[in-house]
Amino acid sequence: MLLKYIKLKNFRQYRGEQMVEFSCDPHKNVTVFLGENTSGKTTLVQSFKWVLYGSVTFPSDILLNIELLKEMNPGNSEQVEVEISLEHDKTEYCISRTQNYICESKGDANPSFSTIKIIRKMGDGQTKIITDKKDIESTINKILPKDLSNYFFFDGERIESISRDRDITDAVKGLLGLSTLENAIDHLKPSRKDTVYGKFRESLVKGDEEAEKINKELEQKQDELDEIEILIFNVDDNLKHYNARKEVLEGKLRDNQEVSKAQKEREINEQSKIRDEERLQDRNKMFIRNFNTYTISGFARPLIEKAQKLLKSAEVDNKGIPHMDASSIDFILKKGQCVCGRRIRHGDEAYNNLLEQRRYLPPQSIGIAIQQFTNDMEQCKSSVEKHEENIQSHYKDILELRSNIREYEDNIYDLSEIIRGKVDTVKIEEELLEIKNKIKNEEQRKENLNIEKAECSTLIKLYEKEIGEHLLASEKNKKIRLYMEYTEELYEWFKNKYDVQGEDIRRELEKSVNEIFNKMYHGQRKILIDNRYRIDLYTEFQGENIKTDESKGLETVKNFAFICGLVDLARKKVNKRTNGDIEDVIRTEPYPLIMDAPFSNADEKHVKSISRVLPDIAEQVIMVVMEKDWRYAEEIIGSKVGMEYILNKKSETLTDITKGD
Amino acid sequence: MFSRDYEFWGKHAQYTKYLCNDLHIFERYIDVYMSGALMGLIYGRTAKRDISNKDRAAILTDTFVKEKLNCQFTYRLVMLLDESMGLTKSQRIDRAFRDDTNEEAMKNNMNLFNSYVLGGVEVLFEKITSNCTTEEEHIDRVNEVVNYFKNYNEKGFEEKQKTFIDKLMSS
Repeated sequence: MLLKYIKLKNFRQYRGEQMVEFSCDPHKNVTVFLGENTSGKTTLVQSFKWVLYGSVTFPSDILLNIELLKEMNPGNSEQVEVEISLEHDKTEYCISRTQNYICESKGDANPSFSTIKIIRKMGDGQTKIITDKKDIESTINKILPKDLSNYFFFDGERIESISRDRDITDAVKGLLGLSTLENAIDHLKPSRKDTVYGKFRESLVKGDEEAEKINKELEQKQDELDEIEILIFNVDDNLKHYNARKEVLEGKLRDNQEVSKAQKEREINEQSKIRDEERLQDRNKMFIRNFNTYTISGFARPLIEKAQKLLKSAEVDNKGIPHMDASSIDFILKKGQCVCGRRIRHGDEAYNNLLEQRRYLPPQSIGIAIQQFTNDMEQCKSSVEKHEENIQSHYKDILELRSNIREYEDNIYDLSEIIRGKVDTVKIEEELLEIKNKIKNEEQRKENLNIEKAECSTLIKLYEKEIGEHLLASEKNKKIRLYMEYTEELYEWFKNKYDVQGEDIRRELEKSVNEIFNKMYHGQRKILIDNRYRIDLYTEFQGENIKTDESKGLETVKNFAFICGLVDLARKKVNKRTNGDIEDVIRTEPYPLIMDAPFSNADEKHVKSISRVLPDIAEQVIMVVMEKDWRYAEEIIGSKVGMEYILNKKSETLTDITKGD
Repeated sequence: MFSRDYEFWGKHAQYTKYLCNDLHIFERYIDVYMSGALMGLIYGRTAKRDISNKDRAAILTDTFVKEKLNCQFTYRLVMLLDESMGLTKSQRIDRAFRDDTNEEAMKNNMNLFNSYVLGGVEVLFEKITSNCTTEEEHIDRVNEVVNYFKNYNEKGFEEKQKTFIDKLMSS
C-alpha cells in the first residue's frame, strides 16, 4: 500500500476542503507534518482510521468542525468527508467516507451513519465502484486488516500498549501471507465434516443407512477431538507463558537474594518494633497508674517525720472512736435513737454512756484523732516503698523497651538502605507461588485433556474401521476413496509447508525485529517472538534465556522494532516472490508507517536511533511530530524528507495545513 | 470539710486540665488537688485563686466523699505543719484536730489549705512540664520526681530542694 493523497473536508479542526499529497519518491520517502500541541496532529492520523474503518478514538462522536456547527441554522445540513487515494497490489483505489449533519436547533446537529465508497482503478484504466458491503469489507481487509491498523497508524504516546494488545495472531498471519495457506489447510482437513475430505466421506456413506449413522457419530467425535485439540493448544500456550514468567521471577529472586534476606529481616524488625511499641504504651500507662497511687504517700513522706515529731508533744488518749467527733454524739442524742435502733432517753444509761464517750471525741478530746492520724502516717510510710518499687520496675521496663525500639529503628533504617531502589522480593515470591500453582493446574488439565483425546481418537479409528467394513466395494466408492487419499496427501503437503513456512516466518520476523532492535539499542538483550506473535525481552543467563524487566524507553524501542520488523518482512516477501514454489502463494504488500507523535516517549538518543532506521524499513513514512522532537530527528532523517507540511493552528477549533519549505 | 464542690479557676484550671487531659500524668483532678496541697506545703508555696480568665475545672462533692480519708489526711498534715500564721505547736495541733466542727475556723483552715493546693499546682506544673515536650520526656520527668522524693531525708531537704529546682530549670 502506498498512500498518494488525503483530502479532509470539515473534519474536526480542518474546516473546508484541505488536501495533502504524500511523498511517493523511494529516495525521499518521508512526509512530515509539524505542529504544536492541540494543532490537530492526532486528528490527522485518526482521519486515516476513520476513512477505512469508520472508527475514531475521540471522546466526542461529533466530527464536524465546531465553528461550522455553531454557525448552522435549523434545517441546514453540512458534510464531513475524508478521501484517500492509495495504490495496493498494483491497483489504485480511491476510498472516501462521508457523514451528514442536519441542524435541528441553532448550534446543534445530529450526525447520520457514515457511508463509505470505494473506487477501484483497474490496470486498463477502467474504474469500478464497489458498493456491496461485503465486498467493501473484504477489500479493506485485503488492503489493511483493522486488527493490524494500530501498527501502521500508531500513536507514539500509546506505543507501550502494543505488546500487551489482544491476540493479533490472525492479523499478523494475514499480513505476512500465512492466512492463504491456513485457509487451504482448513479447507482440506480430514477430521472435519465441512471440508473437502468430509464431503467425500459423506458421499461415500450416502445411501447406506447404517454407514451414515456411524459416520454421524464419527463426525461428532471428530468435532469433540477438534475442541479438545484447541483446548490442549491453549493449555500449552498458557504453560509456555507461565513457565516463561516463572523463569523471570526465579531469575529476579536469584539476583536479589541479599535484598530478599534484608526484606525478611526488616519485616521481623518492623513486627518487633510494633510489638514493643504496644508494650511500651502499656508500660507507660501502668507507670502512670502507679504514680497516681503513689503521690499521696510519696509526697507526704518528707512531711510525715516532721508531723510525727510535732505530735510527740501532744497528750494522746485512745478511748475515743476513730473518725468520729462530738457532733455525731450530739446528733444521736438529739434524735433519741442509737444507730443500732435502741431508744435513748434523757438520763438513762445509754444517754449517760454517750455523754461519757463524747468527752473522748474531738473537739473536747483529740487523742483518738491523733492516734488515727499517726496510724495513717505509719501506713503511708510503709506503703510508699511498695509504690516506689513498682514505679521503678515499670520505668526499668520502659527504658528497656525504648532501647529495643531504637535498635529496631536503626536496623530498619540500615536494611531499608540495602533495599532502597531494589525490587520487592516478597511480591515476587507471592507471584511465583501463584504462577507455580497455575502451572500445576494447567498440567493437570492437560493430562485430563490428553486422556479425553486418546479416548476420542480410539473411537474415531473404531468408527472408521466399522464404516470401511460396512461399505460395498463399488466402482463409485473406489473412486471416492482414491479422491480422499489425494485430499489427505494434499492436506499433509500444505500442512508441512505451513508448519515449515510458519516457523520460518516467525523466525524471520524475530530475526528482522532483532536486527532493527540492535540498530536502536546497544546492549545484551534480545527480543523473542512466540507462536502467537507476542514479544518479550530476554537476556542470556548461564546459557538460558531469562525474561527481563524493561524501562519505558526500552519498551518503546522494543515496540518500534516490532512494528518496523513487520513492515520490513512484509516488504521483503514481495521482493522475494519467485515462480513455481510455495512463496508464490505467500505474497504481501509493502506498507507505509503513519505515526502520531512517534517520539513522545523517547529521549534524544532513542529519537536519533529510531530515525536512522525508519526510512530504510518502510516504503513510505508519514509522521506528525512536534517541532521540539523534530529537531533531533531532522539531523538524521532530514535528507529523506520528500514533503513537509505545517499544521497552522488558528484557534482551538481551526487548523490550516500549509506546505513547508 | 470537703463537703462541697471545688473549682480550679483560671491558670490553675488550665494547668490541672493540661496535666490530666493532655499529658495524662494525673488520672483525676482530685489527684492534682491532693498532690498540689502537699507540694505547696513542701515548697512553701501558696497562691490565690486566679481570676484572669474564665477557665474552670471542677471536682464534685462525690469525688471528695470517695477520697475523704486521703483528703483528711492531707488536710491534717497541712494544718499541722503550716507555720505561716505564727501559731505555736499546740495551736497547730488544735487546728488540725479540734476545728473540724467549728464552721468559722474550718472556713479559714480550708482557705489556707486551698491556697497551698493552688501554689502546689503551680509547682507541679512547672516541675513536670518545664523543658519537656514529648511523652517520653514527661515520663522521664515524673520518674525524676519520684526518685527525688525517694532519696529525700529531712536533714538535707532544704538543700536538695534548691538543687532539684536548679537542675530542672537548667535541663
